Amino acid sequence: MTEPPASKAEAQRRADRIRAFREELEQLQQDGALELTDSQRARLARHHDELLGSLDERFDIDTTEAESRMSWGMRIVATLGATALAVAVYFFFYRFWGLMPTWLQVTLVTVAPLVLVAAARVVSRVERTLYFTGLLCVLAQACFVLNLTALGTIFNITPSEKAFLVWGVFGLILAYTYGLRLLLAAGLVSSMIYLTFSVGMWSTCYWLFLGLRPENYLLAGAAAFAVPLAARRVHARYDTFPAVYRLIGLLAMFIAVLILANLGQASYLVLDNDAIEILYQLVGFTLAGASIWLGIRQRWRETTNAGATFFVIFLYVKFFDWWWDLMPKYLFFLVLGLVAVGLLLILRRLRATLRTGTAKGSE
Amino acid sequence: MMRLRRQTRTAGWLLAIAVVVLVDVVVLLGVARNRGGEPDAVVTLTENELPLVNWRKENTGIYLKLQWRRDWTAGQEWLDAGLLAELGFDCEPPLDRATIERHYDKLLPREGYVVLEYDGEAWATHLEEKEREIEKAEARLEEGGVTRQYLKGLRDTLERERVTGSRLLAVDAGADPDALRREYPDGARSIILPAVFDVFVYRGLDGKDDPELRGRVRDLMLTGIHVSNRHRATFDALDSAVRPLDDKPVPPRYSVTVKWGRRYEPWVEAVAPL
Repeated sequence: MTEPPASKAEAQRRADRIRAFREELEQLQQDGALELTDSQRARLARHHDELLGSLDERFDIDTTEAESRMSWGMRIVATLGATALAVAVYFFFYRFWGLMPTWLQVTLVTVAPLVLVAAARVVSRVERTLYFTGLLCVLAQACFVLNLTALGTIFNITPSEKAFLVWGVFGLILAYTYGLRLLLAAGLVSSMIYLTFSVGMWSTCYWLFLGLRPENYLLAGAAAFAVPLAARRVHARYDTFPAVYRLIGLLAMFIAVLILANLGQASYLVLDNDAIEILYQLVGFTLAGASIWLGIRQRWRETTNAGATFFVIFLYVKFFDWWWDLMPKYLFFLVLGLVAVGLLLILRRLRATLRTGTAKGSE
Repeated sequence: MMRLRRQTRTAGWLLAIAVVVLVDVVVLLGVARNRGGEPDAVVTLTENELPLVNWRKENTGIYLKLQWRRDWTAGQEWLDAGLLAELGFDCEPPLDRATIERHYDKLLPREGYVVLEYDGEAWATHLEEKEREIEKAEARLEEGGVTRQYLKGLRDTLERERVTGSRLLAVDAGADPDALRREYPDGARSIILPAVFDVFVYRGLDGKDDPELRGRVRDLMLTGIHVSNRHRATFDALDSAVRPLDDKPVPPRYSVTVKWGRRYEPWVEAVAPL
């Protein structure tokens, strides 16, 4: 007997496999490739029904295609709703705060995130899907951001990069408490911003301007990418989180390299700007290639996709540099299109090679 | 598994609450520390130095921008290489073309402290320079070197500066605010504020002079001051948030007494109509 799934994502994958298996089994029977006796069919159906029922009860998973589509819709609506409510809270507060005494302003901004965290706790005890819990947590995060921003304005406090650290920690705590990827992304981005602004603080550089050096984002991006590797045991229970870390880490690194590949003067390096741009263009292509290779090897889809996307972006930017002024515009876009077709053929060949490799491996 | 999930959620939400409470306590203790004891400076400024920020109706808070006189093009001549080095800038490399592009253009702004003097010697000197400019123009008018229109423009500018100009000027800077306060002990005239500095290569107004390394106060870390609700009445009584533009310059409509505390963070003590 296999171990029960440790997370909702694992349970959903099992449910999806059962659904696919049922569809394929029906097709095989129609094609005459497989014959099951009535008792075998009944036993199999009973086993799968019990399993799906148990998984649904524990994790509230989607057992049909229609439910799956509905869930996606609900997630999108919940995200949009949470964002809209967060913005509403922000504007509501600033609309009326000028009419309030200081003690009331401080009380409201302090109490709001506490109440929302407590409400999320209460709601999570009765709600299995965690849509409303997630919404309350996003609001709590927004209110905590408002909390520090408003206190800073009310008391004329000198801005500090440490605010990003505490916002990041708060978001990560909520994310790991309820398994919420949106909060994880928010907490991670905030923590990375703090890391970016902290690099170089050992000197007297003003922290806000450290953001003008994209190399600082490289370090933050690499750190985010490495977190799931360093904390494998923790993420055994949060199996959808590592992909978020990897994707956000890669985006930070790729965007930093893309900026430096086109704007050499933004680099720390004391070299000719053209040389810096060429260096980072090479770094960009290498990083993209390495991401594609690593993503295929480790089966990290988001890593492969990010690498492929930025490989194409770097390539198109080079084409623009070389040919935009030299070619008629129709010819330029024709070349871009043909290159895309060429890349598709290469990737299709690569896919076929992988399939052959997998088939040989299973023999 | 279910037990572990329950424990995680209990610990998680308590930790989240603890983070909010702890951070707010630290922030409010910092505020108390700033406002405790003797303030570092107490200055009564006017609308010239603290104009209202004209926020739209979506924000009912009252916010004053700290306006001070600065020369963005030429920087501050007193911010010499010695002072820039004290602020942490590496001013050793020579001023040849390659190092200017590769070194000085890449230097990031740094933080330090600036001394703003209110209605003091620097302001008097500034007015004297304007008056000398007018005297020179009057002499050249007789020779036909300038027009009457030009001279009138200079006089109008001086008049406008006297009535509406900010009397806050930067006079010194450094990395150690205590040392600056010892050098400028008058807390009713000199305000020490955290600021951001940068260096640039100055080549004269026409860009043709030999390169010279200069520093400037890029900005203050706190560019404005929030006013609490108890001082609202004076501002609500104003006809408009922005001073009206007339042929004759309009004098300031209010004064604001501001205190700066031990962390050089300000708060408004009193507001009065003028």
